[in-house]
Amino acid sequence: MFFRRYLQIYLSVCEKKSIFAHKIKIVQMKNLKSLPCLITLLTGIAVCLFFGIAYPYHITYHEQFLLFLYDADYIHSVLCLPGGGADLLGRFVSQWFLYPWAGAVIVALLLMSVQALAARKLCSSVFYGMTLLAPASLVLYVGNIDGLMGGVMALLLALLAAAMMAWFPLALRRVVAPCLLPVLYWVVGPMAVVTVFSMAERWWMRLLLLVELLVLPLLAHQIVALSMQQLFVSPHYFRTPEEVPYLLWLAALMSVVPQLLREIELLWQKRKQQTVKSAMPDMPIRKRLQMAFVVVMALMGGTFVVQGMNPQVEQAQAYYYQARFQRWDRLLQMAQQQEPNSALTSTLHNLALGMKGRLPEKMFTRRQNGIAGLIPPFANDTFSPLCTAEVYYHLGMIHTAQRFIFEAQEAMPDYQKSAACYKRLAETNLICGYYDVSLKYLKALQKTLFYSKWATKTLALLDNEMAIISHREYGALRSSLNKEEYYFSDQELPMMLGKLLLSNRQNRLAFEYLEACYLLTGNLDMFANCFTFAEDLHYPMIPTHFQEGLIMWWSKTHTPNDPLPVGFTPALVQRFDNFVSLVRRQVSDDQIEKQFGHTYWYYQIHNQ
Amino acid sequence: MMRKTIYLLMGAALCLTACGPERVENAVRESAQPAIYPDYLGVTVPVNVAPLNFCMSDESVQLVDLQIKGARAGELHAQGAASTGIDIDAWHSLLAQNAGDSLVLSVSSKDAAGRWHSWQPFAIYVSPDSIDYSVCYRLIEPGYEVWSKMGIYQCNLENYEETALIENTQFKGCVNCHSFNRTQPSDMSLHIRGPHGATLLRIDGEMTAYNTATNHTLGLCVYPYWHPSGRYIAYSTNTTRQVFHIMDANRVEVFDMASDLQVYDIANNRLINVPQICSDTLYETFPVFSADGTKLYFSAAKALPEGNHDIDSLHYNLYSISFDAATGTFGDAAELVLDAAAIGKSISFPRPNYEGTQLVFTLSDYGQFSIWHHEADLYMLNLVSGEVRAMDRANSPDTESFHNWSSNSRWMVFSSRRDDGLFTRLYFCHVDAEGRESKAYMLPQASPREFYTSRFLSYNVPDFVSGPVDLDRNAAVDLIVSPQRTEMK
Repeated sequence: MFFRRYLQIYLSVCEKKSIFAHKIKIVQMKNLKSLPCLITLLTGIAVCLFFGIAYPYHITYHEQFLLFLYDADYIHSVLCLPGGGADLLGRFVSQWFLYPWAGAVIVALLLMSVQALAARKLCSSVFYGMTLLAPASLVLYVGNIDGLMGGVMALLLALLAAAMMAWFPLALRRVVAPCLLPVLYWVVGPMAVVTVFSMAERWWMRLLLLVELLVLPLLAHQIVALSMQQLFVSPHYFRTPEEVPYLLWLAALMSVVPQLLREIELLWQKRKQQTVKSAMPDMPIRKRLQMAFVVVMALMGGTFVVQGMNPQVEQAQAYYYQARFQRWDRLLQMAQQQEPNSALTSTLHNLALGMKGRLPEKMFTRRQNGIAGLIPPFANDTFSPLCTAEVYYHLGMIHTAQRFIFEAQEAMPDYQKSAACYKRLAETNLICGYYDVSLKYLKALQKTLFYSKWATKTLALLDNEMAIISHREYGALRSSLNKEEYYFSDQELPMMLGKLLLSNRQNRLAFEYLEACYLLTGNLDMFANCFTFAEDLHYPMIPTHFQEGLIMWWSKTHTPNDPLPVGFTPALVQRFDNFVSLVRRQVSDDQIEKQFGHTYWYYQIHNQ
Repeated sequence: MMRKTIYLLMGAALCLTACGPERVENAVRESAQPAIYPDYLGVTVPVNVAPLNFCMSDESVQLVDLQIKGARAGELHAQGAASTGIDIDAWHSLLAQNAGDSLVLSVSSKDAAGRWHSWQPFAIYVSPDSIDYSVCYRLIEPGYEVWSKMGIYQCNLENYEETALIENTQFKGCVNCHSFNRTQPSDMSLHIRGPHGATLLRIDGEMTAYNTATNHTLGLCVYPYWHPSGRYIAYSTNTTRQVFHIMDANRVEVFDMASDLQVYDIANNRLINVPQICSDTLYETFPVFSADGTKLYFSAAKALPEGNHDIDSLHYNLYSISFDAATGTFGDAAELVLDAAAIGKSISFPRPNYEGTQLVFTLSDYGQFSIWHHEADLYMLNLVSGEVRAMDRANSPDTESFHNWSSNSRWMVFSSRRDDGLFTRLYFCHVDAEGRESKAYMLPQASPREFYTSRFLSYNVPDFVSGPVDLDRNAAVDLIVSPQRTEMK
């Protein structure tokens, strides 16, 4: 109703206005023509800044679950399915998502292209603004951990195909289009429907092509092992095959609807038998309407994007990205700026502290989630086992790390593989001495763009015991491997960490995790018992949280007259007395938190 | 005109020279036989096997030249970089001419420096016993708990062609426990796990989806084995648990916490329990019918006391119990056939041949999940003499596990991790009428190194099929995803 009213006003304005001077009109037309380019450019910049600054780790997430091989069999395996062409291109560009800014630029360029192609016949139309909703939807689609670049490529190629159809004369187009549609379906998948509606054609012809397009998935079903939903809706646009990528289809809709509205508008004008004179609308009003529409749509798109953002997931991705590349300082810096907001980020934050030797000094300065926040139990998803695997890997429980990485990769709902996981699996097998298996992963990685150099370098380590032992990372981890066999049990983490420590008493991280486990569970007797292992690690002084634990244990097991053991800091002992006195006086929790919020003691009473 | 003709002739000559095989010149004569991948030195192959292409183990070799001479007649030349590239028709013709005799293979290799080396020739024996049309198996990543893409595939043994029978890309689930009735492609049992869990039975080409869990059984029916009459299928139902080694190369252990045996009577849609052997103190599994169908062999171990997870102490013995196919009834008591527990070992996957003369099983240190046990080996029990021996010519230092017989009982297929210690590959060995096995050969491929290096999947549960399995994939998937299930009674 609103739309019809709007059209009526717009057309009546066009009819009533007198003609401006010819020169002014030309200038205005030029302005109108350059405006879309500017809007497209601004869209690209906005997208680039969004993914470069606000959402970079959703971009890197896509690369994390990608294995693109420069290999004929791999390329064939992708191309042999409907939508394979778009999928292959999507995977190809996603390789660069290893670098967030490169990814942001690529996504921006692709989304600009989508918008420009969707708006190619609408430069002077009021419906132009609606085309901004397509990149807005795509931003959220790419910003969704399951949204694959193959979907963006499919939309782009479908719009491109529609634009290319305009090159053919009408008669030829009516022969070529039905012939090329099966090819297009195979290249872009069901997104070919966008071509059908975007190409300049009569409605009956579109209907004919649509019927053809509905038959194609049925035929494809006879030759490929994909479900009907995949063949009709999403061959590989979305990581979860059983889900519909609504945002992608919304973008497709927003690419097509403005053009269709424009066609309806022209039909309306034709029906009213407007003269050539009156067909030339009033430029200032038209321009203002167009601009207003653009602004409204841009605002709507922006709001839509902001509403759809998930900062919690972004933080988890960010932490994992830093952990993956062992940028522990950067991770800790991030935590300084923004408190870890989930169990997984807490896990990775603890790991970063541990890797920098600051776990026993700083772990209680952030909210802790018990043992699960230190080493989470296995979950059947693609992401959390990767984070947990990082902890096991650096602890030296390499077989367990390997299992978690393997399982994370297996849990990928689209049954794809990951170069990042292959890299870690090559490393874990190398450390454990399974060289033939490591070789297999390394050979595969040699066929990638960004892991090839590393793989070739690592190949030299295979079967070279001395080189591995003297390797800074692999040598240290090999020396940390368990020497006693038992079955893994995440219900008995302290037992496993204890055995790990007994295998290598120099494994500082294992010691600190073991002690952290006891602190988190409040088992101060075991904490104090195991503290004897600290002797082998030669701490210059007892770390703060460990002292806090020991002082608390001491106060529970000894009388005030017993002399304090050597190593306790008198100021800390005094502080503990103050803490006890506050608790005894039943002072408000806020006040205790203010003074002792970052101590183990506060965690302990708060936890109790 | 003349000049043009000369140019054309020169061009043609150049093309012919460029495309033709390189001549082996000034070769260094090596005193050893070549180290090749896969190792086909001295193997026995069926008369209808696909070409045994191979490459040198040394990956820096640029070119391999192969000259094959039949002991009776014929010869063949092949040359290639990635593999020998044997012409398939010429190979089959050569094999046919030399059935029952041997082929002599002379290999030359061109090293990285461009020097040729000629290696001592080796023989391949061509058995006149043909092998079945194809081998059917599951392809799956050698994982732990989570599964990704998998499917049941068949590979034509005459030409390497692999086709998917069913893949889990069309539905959410795990496909496993496929079994054919004595290699007949028309009769098949297939188990699906996951939200669409079912047992798919295909009898004479007609498919039915069953719910095999009943009130009087432990759970779903697994490990199927067909009765020779085709009327019965033996299953076990197992309540299992999985644990993971912290450092052992054996990675995963799956152990029974309870298990029973059942036989499904297809004609009467009835699950027959075996109360004589089903008890809480015994874990029974891997039931198989004898060749004549009068016995049911199975593995069984003393159950662990409640709360005891000392898996190392689970040792499965081989038992048998008589079976009357006419009435669908069992004998009074099970008979101990092999006491593996007495020697601290465990028996899994018993498989009698279809002649009823030999039974092959996997022997491992403990438990029933021998596929992850690197010490697991194949052993053969002579059902006539009772003699048991290790199949040394088939075994390797790594895992040998699941196995099956060809329809003529002259060939065995088994899975082994010997290639890289993790990914199971298929190996075949000839077993003669006296039960002597030959050296096993790996499932041939056109370009084996490329193929096996890039395949990150394990071959599971291989079984011979005597003809193409004509399974309507979409109809099977429709059955699987539909909620309709025939209940077993």
